[in-house]
Amino acid sequence: MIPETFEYKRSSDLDQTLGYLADSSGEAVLLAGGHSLIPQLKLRSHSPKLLLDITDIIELSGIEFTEGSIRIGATTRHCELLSHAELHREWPIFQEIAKKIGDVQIRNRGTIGGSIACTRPTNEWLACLMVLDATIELQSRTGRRSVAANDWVTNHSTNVLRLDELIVAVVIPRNSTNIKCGYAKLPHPASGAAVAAVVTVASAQRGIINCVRIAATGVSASPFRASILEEALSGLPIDEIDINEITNLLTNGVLVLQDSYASATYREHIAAVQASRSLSVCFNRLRG
Amino acid sequence: MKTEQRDATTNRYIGDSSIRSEDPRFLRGEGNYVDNIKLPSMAFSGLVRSSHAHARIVSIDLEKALELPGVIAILTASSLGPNNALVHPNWLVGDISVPNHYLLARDKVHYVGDAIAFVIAESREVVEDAKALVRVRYELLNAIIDERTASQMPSIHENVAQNLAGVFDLNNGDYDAAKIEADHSLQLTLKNNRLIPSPIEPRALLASVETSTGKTTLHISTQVPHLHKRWIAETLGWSENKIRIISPDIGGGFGAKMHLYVEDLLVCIAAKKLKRPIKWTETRSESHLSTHHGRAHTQEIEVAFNKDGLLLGMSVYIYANLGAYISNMATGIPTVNCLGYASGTYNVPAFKGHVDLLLTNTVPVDAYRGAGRPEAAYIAERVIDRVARYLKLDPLEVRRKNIVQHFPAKVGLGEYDSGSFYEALDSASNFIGYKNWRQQQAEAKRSDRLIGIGISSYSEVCGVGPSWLMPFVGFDRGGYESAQIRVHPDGKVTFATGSMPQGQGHATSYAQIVATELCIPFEHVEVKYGDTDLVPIGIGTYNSRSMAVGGSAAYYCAQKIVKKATNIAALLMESEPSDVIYSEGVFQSIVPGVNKHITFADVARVASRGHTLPPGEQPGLEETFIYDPAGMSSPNGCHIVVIEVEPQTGAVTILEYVAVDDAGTLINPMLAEGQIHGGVAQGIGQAMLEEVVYTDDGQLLSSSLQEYALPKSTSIPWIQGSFLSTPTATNPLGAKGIGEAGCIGAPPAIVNAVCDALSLDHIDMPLTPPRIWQAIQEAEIGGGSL
Repeated sequence: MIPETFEYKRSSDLDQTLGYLADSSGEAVLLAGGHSLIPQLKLRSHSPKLLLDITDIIELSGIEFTEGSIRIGATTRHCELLSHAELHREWPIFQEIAKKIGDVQIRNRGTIGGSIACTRPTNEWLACLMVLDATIELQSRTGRRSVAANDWVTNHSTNVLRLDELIVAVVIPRNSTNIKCGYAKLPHPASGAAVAAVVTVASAQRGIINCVRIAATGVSASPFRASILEEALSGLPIDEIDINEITNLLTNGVLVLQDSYASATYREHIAAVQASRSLSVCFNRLRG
Repeated sequence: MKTEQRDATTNRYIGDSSIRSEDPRFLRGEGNYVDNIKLPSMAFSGLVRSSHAHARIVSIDLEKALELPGVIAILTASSLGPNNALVHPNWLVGDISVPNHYLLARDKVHYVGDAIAFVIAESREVVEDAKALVRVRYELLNAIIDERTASQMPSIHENVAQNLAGVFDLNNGDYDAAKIEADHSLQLTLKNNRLIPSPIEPRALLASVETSTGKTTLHISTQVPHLHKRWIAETLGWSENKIRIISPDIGGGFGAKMHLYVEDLLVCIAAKKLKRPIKWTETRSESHLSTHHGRAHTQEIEVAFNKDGLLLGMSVYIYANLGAYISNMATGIPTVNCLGYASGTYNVPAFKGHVDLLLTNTVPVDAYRGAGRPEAAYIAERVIDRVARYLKLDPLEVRRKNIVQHFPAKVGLGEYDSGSFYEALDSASNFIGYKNWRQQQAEAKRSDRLIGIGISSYSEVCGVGPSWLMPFVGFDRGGYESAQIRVHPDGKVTFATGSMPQGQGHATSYAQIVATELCIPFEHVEVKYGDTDLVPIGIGTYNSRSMAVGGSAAYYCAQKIVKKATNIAALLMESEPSDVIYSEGVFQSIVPGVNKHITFADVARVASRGHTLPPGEQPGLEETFIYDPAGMSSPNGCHIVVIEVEPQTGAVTILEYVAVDDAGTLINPMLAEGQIHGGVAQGIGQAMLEEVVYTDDGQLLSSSLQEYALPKSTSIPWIQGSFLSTPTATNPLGAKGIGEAGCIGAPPAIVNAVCDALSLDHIDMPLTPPRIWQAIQEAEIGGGSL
């Protein structure tokens, strides 16, 4: 329950922090909410030499609306995403997802950037950003770059984040075309993490689906877009879809996780159930 | 075994839901737990534990760890030498092969978590760093996890052939004949899932030795302070008058804090050796790996019955997983406590029972809330439902047909002294509206909704005793409890008991008894416990015994005080003691023309001065009473639960939960209700959530609360409770046990309900959604329709 010795630096200056990060030659880890990192440190399953606390860097936090996009700072906490009425008017999905993350303490500390940086198999925010076609802004001492959320995960549990980079913000589009969303999650009874969760966004014209994006989390080694299911749905009239049937396509071609709680068979089934529920909510909203 | 009963017309505080006098301390953050206590020059300690389930220790390299600044000492089997004592169990049923359990592993480790080296350092931080630097080389051996196959595997311990530490048989009547005579017989295999006790406060210790006197003081989170004093003295060969046990506030025990653990002894040895106070505090992950687990049985049952549902006989074979060593009470739980009550609340004319006590490479298993009775009730209640289902009879009717109605009733090695078994069935089924729910169930089924109704009727036996009987079942302790009343010169009272609360509310309930019997205000009684230098003698709190045994001690002790005070009052009023009556705190002479009275406080003041005392009477108003129970009492109850299964996910929702319980005289009904709520919550945990998973090579996957699901507030339904009252004649209060009832009643009710909803013969706990969904799939494939 006690971490190995580490050095701790806390700066309110982004450039200074990026300098520390670059100079640490990969030995530093960023500390934001700490709800993944601190337990790892205490169990000594992760023992970095340096912790860089980024919670004081003001420009990393907060939600900004511009004409074409919404920019969510990396250290914006789950609880802020849960209670941001202006954000929910366009994307209620943020409220729905945040509501089911962990418990009050986790939501009060955990951040969206930290959540994406960890890229766990059960990551809800990444699934959300994937269906929103978000971009993730990264910065290092040498410059800035943007990565599409859908390109974030490289080889399952790893992501494109370099050791000298930090996540500055995630940028999502404004909801100008009346896109509707749906979310369903089955939590693990102990950890509260997703055994399976599915995020859907879709739009329709005259009852025909013209755009649908679906991502699942908790189901495989990392969150994934259900592209086969998306293709099967697009162009269909909402009222003629057999949701329970078509969501069996969710895990087509996906290697489904199994653990001592849920077998791969159960998880595959329950993921399809969550997909059905997520789609139902979304389609009902489309019907208005 | 009948005792004279107290006069219930003078109840005053008994039966009153007095609010807990301990709560202001806790609510203000003034609680004091072992880990809060700091002593000058205190050092910290921790254990290097085995990372393998079964292995030979090739070498232990301490060099790097000892070089670390701040490390004071590291104890191993070799450095302890002759001090590496053997930890002995305290309850051995029958002829048991006890494997050697050294404080620190000598040449083999027997489970993941087994103690190898004890590190003492200046800070917790250094302890953890040093632990990481201790290098242990192992030669791996095959691990045995499953109790069903353990006896066919090579012996883990040299002196325990076939890993079978002992067997236990219990036969009443001729089962084989009953089976031949019976219309039907059925078989059923049940797994009673292993549980991790998980008190909110893990185990904690602080040992210090006064150099000048050699006196050891051990602060310990224990349910049994006096037993711990004795066990430490006996194990280490130390003088018992030089050991003081202090148990401050305790955050839950559930049985897990009534065993002797190696850490208890290691801190004492280290404190004496290093002449410094030594603190040890368990982490949550360590608690999973080293605090002894509960349950862990496989039970094979055959039941013989007639076509009208009448039970003729039962045969029960229990494979009890004891883990890697024999813990304190481990051999008594599956045998006397479980097999002895496997017929539940029913008349079973012919019973054939056998227990295999098996050692495996897992965390030792011992008493956990209910300690054998939940495992027993589960057998009886699954069996009765299975019979009803087979015969397509209503499970409530089959229960009525077989339930014990005449008391005392023989069961296992003992008896049910009294009870309301039949009445509880009626009361609970009326309360929940059983018939109405059966109709709703049928209607729901027509719209493909799966509703299930589960009944569980339970009894148990609490307050183990009398002491003379205990050696006959191999118990190396007594069944008594102590009470001491000290009346201060102002008439206020300090009461001390040998029982030890872990959250039950003893400061309140004992004060209710003492204040009632002394006819003084409740607020005038302060209750003390948890210090062996303060409480003269005692046993502790477990087996739902505190009110029945400790409460009776308090009652008799108060009688002694009243008697002495009456004698003094009589002298002062120039009357005969027989002419003095005592009520409402005032002694009054009934001698015609005398018309005198004197208050309790005035008598206390006179007694303390010692100026005016009856001849032969000693000064002071202080008495001790050690009560040895005349017999054990049997609380009972009936729990009925209505659940709905969502077939698509396998999720279970509890729609209604009714608990009707009978614990005889309730000292404090609010606290009794709280015990039911907590017990039912733990029962729901066992039935629906808690699953200990070992890999085949003995790694504990359920190593933290991220994997091991305890019930949360959201898992617990509104529990509708009511009490029946059948006071026991085995003690003067008529009080029976209540602490374990809820976790005995709940699991079978829930499993019966799910089986009822899904028309299943059986499904093993915990009833997680994946497990239920799997059962539904298998039933559909098997051609069954839901």
